[in-house]
Amino acid sequence: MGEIVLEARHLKKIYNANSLNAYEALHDINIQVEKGEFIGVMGPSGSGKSTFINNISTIDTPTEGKVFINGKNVLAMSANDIGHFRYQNLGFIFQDFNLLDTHTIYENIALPLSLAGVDPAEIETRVKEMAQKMDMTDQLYKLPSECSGGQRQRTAIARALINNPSIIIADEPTGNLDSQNSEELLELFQKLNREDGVTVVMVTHDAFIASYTSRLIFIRDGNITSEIQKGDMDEDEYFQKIVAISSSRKRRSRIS
Amino acid sequence: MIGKDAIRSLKASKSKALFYCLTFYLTSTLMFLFFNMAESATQGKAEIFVTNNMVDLTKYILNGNMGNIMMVFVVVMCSIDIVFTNDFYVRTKAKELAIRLISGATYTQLLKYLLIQTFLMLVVAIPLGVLSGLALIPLINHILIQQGSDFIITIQSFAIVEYISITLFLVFWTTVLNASFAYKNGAVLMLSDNMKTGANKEKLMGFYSSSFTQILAKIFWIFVALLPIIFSNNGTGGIAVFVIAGCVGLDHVLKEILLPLFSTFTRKRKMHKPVVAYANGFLRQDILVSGITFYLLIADVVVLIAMMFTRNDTPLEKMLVWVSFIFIVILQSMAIMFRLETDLSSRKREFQILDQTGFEEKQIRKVMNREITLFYGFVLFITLFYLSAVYIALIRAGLFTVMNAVVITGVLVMALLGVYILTLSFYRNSFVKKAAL
Ligand SMILES: Nc1ncnc2c1ncn2[C@@H]1O[C@H](COP(=O)(O)OP(=O)(O)OP(=O)(O)O)[C@@H](O)[C@H]1O
Ligand SMILES: [Mg+2]
Repeated sequence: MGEIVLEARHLKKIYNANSLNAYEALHDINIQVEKGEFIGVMGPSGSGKSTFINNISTIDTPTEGKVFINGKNVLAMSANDIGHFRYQNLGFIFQDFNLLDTHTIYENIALPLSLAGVDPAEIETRVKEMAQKMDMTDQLYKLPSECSGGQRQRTAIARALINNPSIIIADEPTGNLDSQNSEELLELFQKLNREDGVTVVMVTHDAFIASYTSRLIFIRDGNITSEIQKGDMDEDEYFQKIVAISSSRKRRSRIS
Repeated sequence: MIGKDAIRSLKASKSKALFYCLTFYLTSTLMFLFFNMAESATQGKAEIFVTNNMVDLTKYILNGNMGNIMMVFVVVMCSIDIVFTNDFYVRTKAKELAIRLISGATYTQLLKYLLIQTFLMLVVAIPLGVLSGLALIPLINHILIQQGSDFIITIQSFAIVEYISITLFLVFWTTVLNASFAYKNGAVLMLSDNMKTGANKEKLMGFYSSSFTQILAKIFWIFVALLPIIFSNNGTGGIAVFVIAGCVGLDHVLKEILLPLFSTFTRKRKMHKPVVAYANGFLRQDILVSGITFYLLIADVVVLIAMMFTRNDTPLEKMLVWVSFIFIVILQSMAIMFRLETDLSSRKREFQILDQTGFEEKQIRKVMNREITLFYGFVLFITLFYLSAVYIALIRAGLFTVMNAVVITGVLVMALLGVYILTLSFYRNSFVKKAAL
């Protein structure tokens, strides 16, 4: 067994707790993520996927339970330490991008480097390098509102990857990309994952995208209902299995 | 149904509604006072004309003109404020309107919905403004008598009719225009925030990629922006015209030269200081969106001061100019603050994003302080810059007094300080950290 980089114990999330419209989105989640794993999270809309990855990654605070990242109990950390921790270890790609609309693409991508106090000249080199990788070179001095949905998504990806995080948390990172861009992104994730040992946790709806992962978690109504490990399966086999599980789940949900 | 919805929507944007009322309250007070004063002044002078000789006749014509110019000027400025205020209120509702449209609201329903909201606020603001105006008249009369004025302000019954009809006319038409704009662009609006943020399409890079003709154009705009300083010996009346031209030049200089340079400077030199780098980005946005409001502040201040010194006026007319000056500086400062406030809802979200990417709470507060302080500092600096052209003109004409300069600068600084403090407190309240992690 490898080193555990991320662990959640008895995680429970209640939105609007102590009020009339309190809603329990996660019930009792337990998960361990090893260094270098590539985890996919699937499940129907509203099942709690975003809630799950936000709560295991310091973006949101669980109502109950514990979260450890790189062995640190993040719920016990001070707000400032969490800030440092985020830009030093984690790269986030949010479902709705979360870009600064008042700032240029360049400034958005540079954010984590700026926080780390990297020298402006080096920031420039790294942002331009990253922009080239993401095919965003011509967009660098535009505002997000002047870019297409896919370009905004690639900006969010660039921002998440620019500080070489050890864990990437991605909520439907391919939602606005065409199939070629999606595959390129997944290949990049896979490369980072295999060559640099970066751990990836990624939400997706797409069985084909999910087939790039090494382990897949299914969430339904706030519970982890099943898991598949790629193990020795080849990609086709893995893909067939994912399709089988997600379609059987679909059929089941139509009947019920 | 529409009425209830309109009231609910009004409640949902309480602070904006409050600003709206406040602006209308102040414009009401000023315009009401002004109509009364101007009417009294003209009447008073008509009497002088009847009883005195021909020399007074020319003086009457000159002064009468002066009163009329002032009247037109103040009415135009207040109208611009009314239009802006109304515009901002409606624009903050752009998304809501678009959703109503997409779900099948008709143009008349939309218009009704907007008019109910604006008129409800006017019903509160206008009577209060008129009452304050009425309360101020005895006070002003007292000062006038002390100054040895020949005549005092009498309450003119039609001043209120004039004022209210102008206001209602303006509010009605800006609302109609906004409603029809929303109606035509409904679907597009729903997909973008452009109506709210004023479609800011400025190219922030432009400066380095300039061709020769672009550089010539830039030099030209710098020249236009500096016109008032270059021609500051042209008399106070001439200076007013030059300052207005200067504002046009300033707009180009800001958007095409200063802000791109500022962005480049931040990118090349300040990127390793997150608070500075991102506060600068917000500052750039603030200057872009509030441009018109502070050019108006500059133009107002300069024109009023020019008027103040152009002729040897009666105490009543002096009073007229001073009252207008003070009110307009306050109103215009509020308009600037109001413009920033309009953007605050989207700014809130950006502060959250800063938080999520790893800014400490302390750093976010620093970003806010820096942004707001630099912004108002910039407005004050630019206004004082153009004001100095006027002071130079006055010194050359031998009309400058230290006392006046101190009072004028003081009023300006106080008004901006007031809105600075208010804006800062709005910003502080806008970022409430989620239950500490
Ligand atoms: N801020 C919130 N307040 C209240 N309820 C929320 C909040 N965010 C999410 N929920 C609820 O929690 C449940 C899970 O939401 P979540 O966003 O995690 O779903 P998801 O699996 O990511 O769905 P999708 O695939 O559509 O993105 C949903 O029923 C949602 O309505
Ligand atoms: Mg989601």
